[in-house]
Amino acid sequence: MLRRPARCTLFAYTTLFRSLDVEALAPRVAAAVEKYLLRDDPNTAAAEINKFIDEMQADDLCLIIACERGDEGAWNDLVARFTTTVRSAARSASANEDAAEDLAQSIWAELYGLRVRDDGQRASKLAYYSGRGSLAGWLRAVVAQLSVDTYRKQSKLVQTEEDADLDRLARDARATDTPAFALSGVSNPEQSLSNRFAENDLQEALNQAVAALAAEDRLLVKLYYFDNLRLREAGAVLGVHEATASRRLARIQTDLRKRVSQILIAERGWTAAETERSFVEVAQHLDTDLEALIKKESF
Amino acid sequence: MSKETNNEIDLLLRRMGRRDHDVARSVVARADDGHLDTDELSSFAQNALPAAARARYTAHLAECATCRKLMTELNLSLGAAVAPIPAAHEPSGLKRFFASLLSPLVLRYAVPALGVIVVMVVGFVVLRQQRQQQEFVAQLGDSKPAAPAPAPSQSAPAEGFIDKQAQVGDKNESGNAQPGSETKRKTEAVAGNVSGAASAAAPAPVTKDGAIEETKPAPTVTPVPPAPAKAPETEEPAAKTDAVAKKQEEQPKAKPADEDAQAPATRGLYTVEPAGRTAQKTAKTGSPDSHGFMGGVAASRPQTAAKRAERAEEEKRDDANRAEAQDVNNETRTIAGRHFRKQGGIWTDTAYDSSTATVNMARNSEQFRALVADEPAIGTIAKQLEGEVIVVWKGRAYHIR
Repeated sequence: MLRRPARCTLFAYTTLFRSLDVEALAPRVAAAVEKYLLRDDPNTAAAEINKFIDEMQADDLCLIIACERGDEGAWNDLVARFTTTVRSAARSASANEDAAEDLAQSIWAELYGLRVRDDGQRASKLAYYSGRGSLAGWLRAVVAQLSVDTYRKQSKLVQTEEDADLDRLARDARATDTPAFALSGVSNPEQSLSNRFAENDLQEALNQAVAALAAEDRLLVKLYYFDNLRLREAGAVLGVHEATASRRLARIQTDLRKRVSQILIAERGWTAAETERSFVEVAQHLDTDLEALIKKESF
Repeated sequence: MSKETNNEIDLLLRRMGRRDHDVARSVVARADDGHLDTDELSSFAQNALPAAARARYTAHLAECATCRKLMTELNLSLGAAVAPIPAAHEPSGLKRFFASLLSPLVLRYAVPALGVIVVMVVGFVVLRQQRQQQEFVAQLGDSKPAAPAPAPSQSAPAEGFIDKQAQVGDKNESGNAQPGSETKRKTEAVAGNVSGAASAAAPAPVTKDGAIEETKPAPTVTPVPPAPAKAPETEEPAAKTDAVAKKQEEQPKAKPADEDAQAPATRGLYTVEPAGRTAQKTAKTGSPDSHGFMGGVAASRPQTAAKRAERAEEEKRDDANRAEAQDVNNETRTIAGRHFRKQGGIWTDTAYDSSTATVNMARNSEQFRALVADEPAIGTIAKQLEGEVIVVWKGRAYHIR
């Protein structure tokens, strides 16, 4: 909760522009402060709180609160200003124009609140807008989330063609119980078994090293390697330039290699030479693995 | 760490990502609780969160494939609306340009070239400074004796400027080898204009003060300029030396000043007339000291081409005389085209070599008189140089005692 009266900028603006009073606005602002500041640091300085409040989107927040309070003028204003935004977001999240139109209508319905809560107020998504980011950005997030929800309802699990291929490859490898290193031409069963253990050790060490990364580095790894985003897209999620993301990724790779080597030597009893050799062998095997996948796709 | 080793990690991570793809999809399918709400997603995507909150959501996004997927979609849909933070990390074009200038490839050639240029510039500056110092010292050396100037003088009351001018003219006619005061005045005017800063600097006040004092006593008339304070030696170009020699030869004939003005004379390449010296000469000839100032004013007036040519001639003669005077100052003299340096109390011809056949003779000997009769220039030399003189003449050396 606010321990001191917040700066008057927002409140003065509110009363002048939307004819709202401080009582209408204060709970919303307090909730935002609690959510984004005090949860992480309950002893946040008053100056920082005031700065936080000053940076809020006063106009958008007042518009939303006015809409929540049933101000028809505010509603008309909201629709007039953001119809294009909602339609654009719906179009990019939908397969065709009809689906986009349906999604956009759903958004407006969700925003208005078709259901009524126990206290008699409409259950509107507008209640989730904190005023921290722009209203346009928030509306796009609403569209994206609603789109995902709709997608989930329509199909629980939809595999893409590429996913199916990957799964098939993995299944084939498991079903035949063929050690992955066999692909690289290792015929000796003992050697093959040894390689398989080595691969497992390496993979576990890598998992461990990734888990130990800083949150932002881990997110970059996940975005790039797990979600298959391009560096530009991954950088956009992190709020950094593509070049920065690239440099950061190179550093992460270096760190990971060092960390994996340390884990293998310290915890698994490997020698440095074995670690290096294993890296090379696994890389060769993975190259072969990818070639096999490409061949399968070409048939 | 090499690129290849990073490639190995890259491949391992890709496989790890592929394996976890199934897990991620299953997480998407069952995701319900604990995820970021729309406001958190949009605030994160817009970089509108405080650092601590952003770190918390980053940690969640790193683990939650559902939220990551939403965040990715939201970012893609926001597109250009949410600009990344580029400038702080990316070097600007200008920085890249300067960085390229400092690249080893460029430096390999630029550094030696820069070194050569620096050496050339330093050499030029040093040479120029030396020359300026020489001129400055010469000015100082000349201007110092200006105050105690009163040597034996044929004094004349400080009358008008015209009287003095006439007086000096008479002296010149009597064979003093001193150019007319008007000539000097004009020369001084040119010097005042040409050597502007030099005359306006240290020597200038001296000159001016001396000028005012020296207008009162009578101008000195001496056959040979009095020995002033020592000035640093200056090398005279050969052409100039020849000109002086010619002049010296003509001096005994006592040519009128007008004829002198017509005589050809060459000027040394680097000879610059110092204002102080000009003032000194002016004092000797009895011309008013305010000539420098007056001359400067006069020089600013338009002049005819004939006058300018005449003045140039006079300047050349003055230069030759000045060179002589400077030689005296420097314990070196140039007489009749021969350079003499005082070595061990003997005026020795600079062309003298100990291997040269030398004829010894006394000044009052019959042999000397016969030699002077044949070669009057030797007589002139012996007359102007007191004491022992060794002169090289037509391949032979004469030691005159």
